[in-house]
Amino acid sequence: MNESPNRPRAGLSRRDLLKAGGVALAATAAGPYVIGTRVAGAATPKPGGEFRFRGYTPPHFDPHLTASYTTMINLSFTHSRLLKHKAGPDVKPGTFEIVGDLAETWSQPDDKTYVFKLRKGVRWHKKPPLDGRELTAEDIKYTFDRFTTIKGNANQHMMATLAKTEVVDRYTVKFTLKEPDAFFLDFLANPMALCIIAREAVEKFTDLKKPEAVIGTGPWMLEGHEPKVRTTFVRNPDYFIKGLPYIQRIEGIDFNDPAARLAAFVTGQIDAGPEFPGMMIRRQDWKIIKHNRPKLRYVEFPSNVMSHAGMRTDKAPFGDIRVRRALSMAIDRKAILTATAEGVGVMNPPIPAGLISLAIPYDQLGDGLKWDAYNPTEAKRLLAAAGHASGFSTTLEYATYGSQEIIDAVQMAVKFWKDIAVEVKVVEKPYAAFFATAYQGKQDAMMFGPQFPALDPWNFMAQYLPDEPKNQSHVKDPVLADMILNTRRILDDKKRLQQINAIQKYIANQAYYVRFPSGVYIAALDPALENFAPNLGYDYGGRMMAAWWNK
Amino acid sequence: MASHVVTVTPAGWPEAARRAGALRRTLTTLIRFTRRKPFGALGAVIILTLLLMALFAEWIAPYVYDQQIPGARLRPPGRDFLLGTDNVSRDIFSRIVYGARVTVTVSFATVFLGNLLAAAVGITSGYFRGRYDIAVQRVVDAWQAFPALVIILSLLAVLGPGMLNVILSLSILVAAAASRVIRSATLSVVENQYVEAARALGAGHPRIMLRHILPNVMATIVVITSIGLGGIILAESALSFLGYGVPPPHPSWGSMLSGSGRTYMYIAPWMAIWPGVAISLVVFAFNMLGDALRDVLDPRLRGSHGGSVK
Repeated sequence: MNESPNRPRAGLSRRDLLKAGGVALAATAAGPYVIGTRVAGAATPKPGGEFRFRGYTPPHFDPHLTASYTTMINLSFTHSRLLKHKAGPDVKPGTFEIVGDLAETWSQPDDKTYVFKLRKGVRWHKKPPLDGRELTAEDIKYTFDRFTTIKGNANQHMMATLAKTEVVDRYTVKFTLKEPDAFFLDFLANPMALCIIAREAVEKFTDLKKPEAVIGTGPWMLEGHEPKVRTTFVRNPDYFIKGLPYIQRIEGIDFNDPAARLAAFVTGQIDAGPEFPGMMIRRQDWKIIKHNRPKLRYVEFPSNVMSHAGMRTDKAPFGDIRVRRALSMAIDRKAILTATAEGVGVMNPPIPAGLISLAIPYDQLGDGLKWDAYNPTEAKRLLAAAGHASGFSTTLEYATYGSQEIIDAVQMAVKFWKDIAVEVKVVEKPYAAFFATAYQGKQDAMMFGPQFPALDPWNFMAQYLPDEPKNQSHVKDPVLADMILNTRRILDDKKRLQQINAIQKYIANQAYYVRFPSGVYIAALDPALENFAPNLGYDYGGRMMAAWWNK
Repeated sequence: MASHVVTVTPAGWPEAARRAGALRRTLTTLIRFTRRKPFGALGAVIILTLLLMALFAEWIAPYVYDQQIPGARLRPPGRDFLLGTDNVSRDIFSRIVYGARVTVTVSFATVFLGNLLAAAVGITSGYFRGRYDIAVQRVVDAWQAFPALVIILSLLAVLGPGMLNVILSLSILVAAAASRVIRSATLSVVENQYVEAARALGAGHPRIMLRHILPNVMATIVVITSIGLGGIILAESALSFLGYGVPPPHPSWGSMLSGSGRTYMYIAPWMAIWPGVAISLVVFAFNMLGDALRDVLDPRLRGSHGGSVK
């Protein structure tokens, strides 16, 4: 079987960290990939206890009708997938080894066929209408049929190559693809879309939007949901891995206000860092947190959350490559990193630097690198050459996501553009409205926002394919589309990575989006939480499954 | 020759002497007002300062509100930066000076629009009375039954964030409450003989309301305006705090306090303190001035403690 390029690596060294983005702007950035203070204690897991984290109120709970991280994080506790990413203290952040979840084994008889053998004895949560029924291959088929056919599924592109799903027997399912797809297993393991759902729940509730419809086969069951207040989960006693999970109850407390969630963490009301994604803390809060909770465990690794400014390249003036390059060159990325991440972060190629084995090393971006360099003089010259010597006015739509860092990045960008005579009027939208419009390219001119922090390269490249909902810049480039579509047909890891690198160089040179830098995360945890390690991605539940309290 | 022409008023006084007399009387009134209402006078000075800041921000502020000063991130208040700098390396004093524009624009535009609407509703309601009055007042009752924040957030959810929408939302809210007060004042004015006389002389309803009632309820409008301004400034700050105010990078005191101010509260408290001080000072000023004006302009309080300065 072929191996995807984001298969596990031996570890993450300091050199890896630096390579990941090419730049670390302060001494501390170069510093620790550190696991801080640990509690020396019992090696035998203790069941019980409660884990409290900063929770999220989702727009709804149907994973096929939203791509929102708020939905997926909640469902990571309650639902299983065919495959998943390995979790635990021996897994280095930024690496994603694929292991079985509901699938016990799998094989690839030919380039276009995958066969999965399911675990036996997996039961749905004891909630009506499922009431603990056993999961079968029919459930897998139903999930993938619904995923690929339901209207309004922004993640449908992940299964674009899936031709049919067949039930071979009660515990065997076969996927036949239209063409070879090197990313197919990555998508199945993706904690951001493809959790397995039950037909009965959909039929009873019409869709899966309501909390009552949250019925999975995952380690915890949804216990309660108070929008904007808390979401609670209770241990699934019939989980298919005997003895797991250890923690009895999970409580996600919704803090939209950064100051409130910082206070909650400092005072011990929540057990892990409150920032998205993966239980982080903001670097500017580090000192105060360390002062108040000196025994915390912490881990640093570069983020895969990359913000960018998209623009309607199907409209003037953004159809002109010189304008796009000028807008990119106007941005002082180092200053933004200093203001928003205490100067500690990484510059992003088109695939975020945080995905250490997928992103092209920043300094190898080639010609595209110069459009990232802060050069307002050259930016003005490019604008003049494009017929905009006296600049132009435009609008930029964004949502704050409750993050001051996003607000600061936007206002700095607007100032940098103003310096080259591009007047940008900021239109702030509520998250839901933004997600339904600008996030899907339905903006008047420009948009700004953090991008889907995928763990595979395809999701980042797909936003350059025509007619994809996340093609926020309305890119219609046949050469690029052909390069991208060809990538998934290349089953040789090395050649595929070369192609992915070539695509990143091409994209950078075209300046379809203005890419912004990402911070280096600090994940912070209560030291008594054992057998847990943070990582990128929404799989909070998967990473918590084998964790236990040593107190 | 034009220079030899002396304008003579009907009373026979030269114009220059008449102006000097008027100036002297104004100054005397101001001095008396300051002596008898020192807090009111202090409020007036602060408001005047606010207006000057808003009008002449470009000349007063050492930096433009969005100017990022290299190497000046999170500087505490000091000689180089009077009130310190923020995390984006911007001068906080300059942003507060420019932020006064938002405060002045929102508060004055809101009271103007709100009181215009309130005067229209209140005067017509008090003047016509009868079924029209009953119908209008029930609408006002219903409007006032909703919590203010619910109304504003609902309106802003429909209209979207932005300064103009904040002004419109707050105006509607202000109008409902103010129309009640203006209606009450109208009810007492409409009984006066000069209104009867105007009616007897054949004056139409619009003329009576505009020429005879409005001037006589103007003191009430001035008082509710000055007292209400403080509340509007707080409301604008609260809405900016919630993200419904002026979009970045334009500064408003509320957004300075709520956004990066709170984010950096632990390591750069001056980022939140100064906008908070500015809001408190201006609200205090409007309330003090409003109280003083009420004492001076309300005929029922004249002659009582702190009454007229005449």
